[in-house]
Amino acid sequence: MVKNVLLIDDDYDDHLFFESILDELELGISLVTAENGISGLKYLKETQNLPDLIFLDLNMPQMGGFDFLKILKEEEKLKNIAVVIYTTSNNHFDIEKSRESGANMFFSKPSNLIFLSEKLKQIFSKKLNSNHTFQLVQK
Amino acid sequence: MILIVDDRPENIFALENTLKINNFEVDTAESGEEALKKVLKNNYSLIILDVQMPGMDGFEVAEIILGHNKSKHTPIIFLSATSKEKKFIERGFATGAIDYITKPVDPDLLLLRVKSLYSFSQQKTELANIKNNLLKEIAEKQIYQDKLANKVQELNIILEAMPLIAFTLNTEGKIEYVNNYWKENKLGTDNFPGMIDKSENWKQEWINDFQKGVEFNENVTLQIPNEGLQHHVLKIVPVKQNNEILKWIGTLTNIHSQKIMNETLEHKVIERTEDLIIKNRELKNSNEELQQFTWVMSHDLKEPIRKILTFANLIHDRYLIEEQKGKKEIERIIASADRMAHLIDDLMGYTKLSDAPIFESTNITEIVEQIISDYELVIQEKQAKIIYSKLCIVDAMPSQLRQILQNLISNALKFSKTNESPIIEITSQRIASCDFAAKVKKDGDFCRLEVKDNGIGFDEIYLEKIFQVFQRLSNGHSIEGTGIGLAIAKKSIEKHHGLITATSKLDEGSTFIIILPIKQKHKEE
Repeated sequence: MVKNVLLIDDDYDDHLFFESILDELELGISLVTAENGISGLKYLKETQNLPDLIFLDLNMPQMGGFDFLKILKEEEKLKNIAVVIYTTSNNHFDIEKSRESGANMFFSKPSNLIFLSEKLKQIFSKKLNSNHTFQLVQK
Repeated sequence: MILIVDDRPENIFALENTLKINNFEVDTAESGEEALKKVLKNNYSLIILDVQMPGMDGFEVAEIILGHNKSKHTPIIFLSATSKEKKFIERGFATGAIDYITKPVDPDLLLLRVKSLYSFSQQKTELANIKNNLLKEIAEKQIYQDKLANKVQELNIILEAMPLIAFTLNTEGKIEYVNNYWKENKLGTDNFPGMIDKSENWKQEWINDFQKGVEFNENVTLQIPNEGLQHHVLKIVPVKQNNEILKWIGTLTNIHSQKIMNETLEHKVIERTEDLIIKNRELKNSNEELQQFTWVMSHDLKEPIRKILTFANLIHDRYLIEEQKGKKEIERIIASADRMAHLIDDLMGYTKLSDAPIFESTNITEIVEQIISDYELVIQEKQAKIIYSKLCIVDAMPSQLRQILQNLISNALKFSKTNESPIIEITSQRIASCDFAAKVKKDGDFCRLEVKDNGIGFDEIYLEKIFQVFQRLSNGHSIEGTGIGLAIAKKSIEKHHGLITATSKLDEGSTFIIILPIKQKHKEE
């Protein structure tokens, strides 16, 4: 079961959606949020409690998702954390790049919180790790 | 033949016999008038003429004969019995006669005289004939020479009239004639062909051709006063008569402007090509910029529309469950925003299609397997079944082919019936030609790929429209939900030089059929 989740996204609305869904689901999951790749990395280097799963936006100021993912995969301590690309894009090229960069899932941000809630529940119920086959989640 | 003229037949008779005995041919006339008639008709070597005759006397007859052109050189001997005085003899000679004999005539003496005069006359005739022949020959030669002179003149006139430098060479290869252009260009006439250009390269070749007696052609440069070196074509052809070379005619044609024009043209072509390459590059850059712009714009547009949708959904799902006020309006906001989000997605997908095609050997089975793996969650959720066998390997752009199949498979999953789990069958066959109805052929050049589902299907009257991009963009309500995915698929397939179509029946499912060439001409290894 997933216990700790890191959401790296510059969109505070998404932080709020995640928080409210996690509250509703009552799965006992703790959520940490970061607003870009740099602060995400900073958190990962400092924390004693590494997340089981990272939700990663692609377009962010200072450091975007792909740059973050590249650094993450070079860090021995961090490279085994499962990564879900969580982005507005539903684009073929972003999907391929995510697959090649070693992400485990490509989750196109839905515009319906009920759908988001259902999908998160599914994701959290699995034991995701970095070896998990790449999956697409689209509405 | 000798003509004897006497009014007395007995005189004629005696003389005629004497001459005939001595093998002379003889003719006779008994009066001056008769004699003149005969002289006009025949040619006589000698005329023996009696002086005293009734009517015209001998002198008058002789004057007429010798005054006549035809007979003016005929020798005449007068015979006279009565007019022996000196004055008669003088008159006789004055008429032009050769001899004057008085009667009685000694036959032997007369015969001797006749013989000598006859042979003299014969020789004279011969001489005249020779002279005539000579004159004729001279006249013929004159005509021939005139003709030749005319020909040469004609040739020279032609050479003068030609708008190029022309000359003739004699059989020794020396300049014989030059036209005005030659003179204007002050080329000089000594030492041909040394005056033409300084290059030695072609001169030995000219000597060879000259000795062989064959036409010579060469590009040369000529120093033209006030214009400098100019490109010319030198052409020298032999003029032959009865296989013998009489002379050579040469021309120098100025091709300088053509040559310069050609060079300029070539230069221009190179320049234009470079321009084009630059323009092409600029175009490509600006196209890429435009694509990037569309990309960024679409992305930036997508974010707010997602927010609108999310919050509208949130209001709808959380606060309007029981409340009917405003619910319809919110639903309409959601529907519109949803459509806009789709359009933006499609726009992004469509933009990236204009890249240059790079084909590589692509295994369709692997692509299908990857898509199935990508959609594992949905497949599980919908309890879908995807059946496929070993599919073709074709030259393709793998990412585009994946996008096409992903689109078809996700549509099949999306438009499944609510009471039936989706079954998607993917099959392929090698076929003989690029035609939907083509026969199966084991080593055919094309692959027919079919994606069949048991979903809700569509009315085939929309078949044309589902593959049209602008149709869908402007008239989004005809078939909900597919976006321009199929239009993108069609464009991609066309880039692969293939075909796409579909068959469908409402409530019974659809089959999408794609034809792809096995090999592409421009393949990246």
